Amino acid sequence: MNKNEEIEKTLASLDAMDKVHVKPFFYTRLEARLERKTTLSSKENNVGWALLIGLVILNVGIYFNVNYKDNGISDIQQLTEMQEQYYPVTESYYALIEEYETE
Amino acid sequence: MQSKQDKIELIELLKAGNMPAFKHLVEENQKKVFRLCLGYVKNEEEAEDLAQEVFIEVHESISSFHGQSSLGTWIYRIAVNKSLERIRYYKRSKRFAWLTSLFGAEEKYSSYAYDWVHPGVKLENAERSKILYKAIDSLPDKQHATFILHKVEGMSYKQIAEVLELSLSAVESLIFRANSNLRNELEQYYKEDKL
Repeated sequence: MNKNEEIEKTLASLDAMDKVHVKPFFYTRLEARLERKTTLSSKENNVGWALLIGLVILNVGIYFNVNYKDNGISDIQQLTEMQEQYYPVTESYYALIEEYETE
Repeated sequence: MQSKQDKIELIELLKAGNMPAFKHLVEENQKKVFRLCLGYVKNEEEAEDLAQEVFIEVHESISSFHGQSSLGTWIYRIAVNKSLERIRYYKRSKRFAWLTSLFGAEEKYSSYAYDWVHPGVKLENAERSKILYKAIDSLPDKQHATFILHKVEGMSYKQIAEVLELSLSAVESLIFRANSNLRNELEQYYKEDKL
């Protein structure tokens, strides 16, 4: 048999195929899979909601922690208090000179 | 044969989530979807798995079906896309098999049958069909899809154009190119191995 004949026969090998049948109870198996998928996706949804709520709580917590950590005292107030504590007005350079001169 | 009114009613019922309507749809289309998937994945169990995925997709996205084509064509389109996705997955996992084996990962799907005989092929054509399927595997996606739909499913060019959303002339050209590429592949095969 020559090459062209072989090629033609091979190309025609899928002609007139017999019918292929699906295994019985295909729908039953499909229905079971659909149910499984629905249950899984509702569980996934629950996990998603739980994560979202957790994230919101975490964010709110961080917000309150940062803003209300020192009972409403702002950073500037804190700095002023610290300055007064370590460098009282009386201990300024001029006050010290005056103090020295009077001595 | 369903009338146009019946089909519209069926679509409405499907959109409303009516399960008996879905069962009717599955029973009406399961054979052709299974056959199409089998032509691609070449394994009866995986063809069934893929056919199930197709119907799950139909069930989940029926609300997006607006009747631009017939329901059957739409289902065929989903089946072709899912099959092509699966084939790409096989090819990808074959390419990276050495890497996944390093981590001891198991393949999700059994290996793709590169040496397979379609159960519908007549016994005397079994060997030739194996050779032809190997050659079909080497075709680009669109040529592969048009050839399978035409040769295995026996669809007309018009039906293929609807399923793949292509023009009639594009389908003709794809089938012509698929045939000529297959001829070249087979010529190479018989030159090297047989004659």
